[in-house]
Amino acid sequence: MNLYIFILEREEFLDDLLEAMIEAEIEGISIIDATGAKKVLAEDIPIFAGIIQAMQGDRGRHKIILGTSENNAIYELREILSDLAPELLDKGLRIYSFRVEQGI
Amino acid sequence: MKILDVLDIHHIKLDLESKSKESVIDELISILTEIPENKRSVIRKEVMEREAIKSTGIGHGIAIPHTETDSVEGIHVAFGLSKKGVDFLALDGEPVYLLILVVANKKLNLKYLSLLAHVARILSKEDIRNKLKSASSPENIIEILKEVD
Repeated sequence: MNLYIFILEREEFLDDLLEAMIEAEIEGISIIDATGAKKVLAEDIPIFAGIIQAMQGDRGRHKIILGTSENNAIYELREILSDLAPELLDKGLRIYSFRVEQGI
Repeated sequence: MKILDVLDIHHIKLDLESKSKESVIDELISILTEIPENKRSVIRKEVMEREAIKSTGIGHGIAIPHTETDSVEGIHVAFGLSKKGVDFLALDGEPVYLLILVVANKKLNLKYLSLLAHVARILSKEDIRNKLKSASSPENIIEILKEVD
C-alpha cells in the first residue's frame, strides 16, 4: 500500500487536485486544514513577529490531503494534473509518497 | 480507469431519438443489451433516483447519468449522441448532446469514481466535445477518444 501526503498551498486548486486523485484511483482521501508554524509564531509569540515580513505572499494556511492506493499512483496523478492544472505542478503543491508495509 | 477500458463499440449510438431525460435514459439503458430486461428496470430506477439528487447534466451539452448497483457485474458504459439535443434539466439549462451512461457494480466503487472523473475531464475540453458531436460513426468516436484516453 502507498500513502500520500499532499501539501496544497494554492487552495483554489483543491477541486482539481481531488478530481485528479479520484481519477488516479487514490482512496481514503482526507483533507486537513493546516496552519504553518511561521504564522503561529509570528502572530502569537512577540519575539518572532518579524517573521511575518519574510512570509511574502504566504498566507500561512494550506490544506494537507492524505490518501492511499494499492499501486503507485504518482505518475498517473502527475499526468492527469499536467492536463487539468499544469500550473499547480510548477508551484503550490508538494507531494510525498511512502510505501506502507501494513495497514489494519 | 479510462473510458476505452469499458466502452464497447456496440454500445455507441449516434442518433438518439429521445427528447426528454427519462426517455433518453431508457434509450441508453436499452443499448446495454447484455443486461437482462428485469435488471434494466432496477437500473433505470436507480439512475433516476441519482438524477433526483442533482442533474448529471453538467453543462456544455454533456450528461453523465450513472449508478452503482448490485444488478450488474463489472462496469457497463453506453455512449449516445443526440443531434437535436435533449432537455436533461442540465445545470446550465442548455440542451444535452453528448450522453454517457455508466452502470457499475457497487464493489467497484474506486474504479467507478475514477471513470466518472476521467470522463468529466476529457469532456471538459471544448475541442473534444466538438469532435465527438460531429462524429460520423462509432469507429470515429473510438478514434477521438483514443486521442485523449
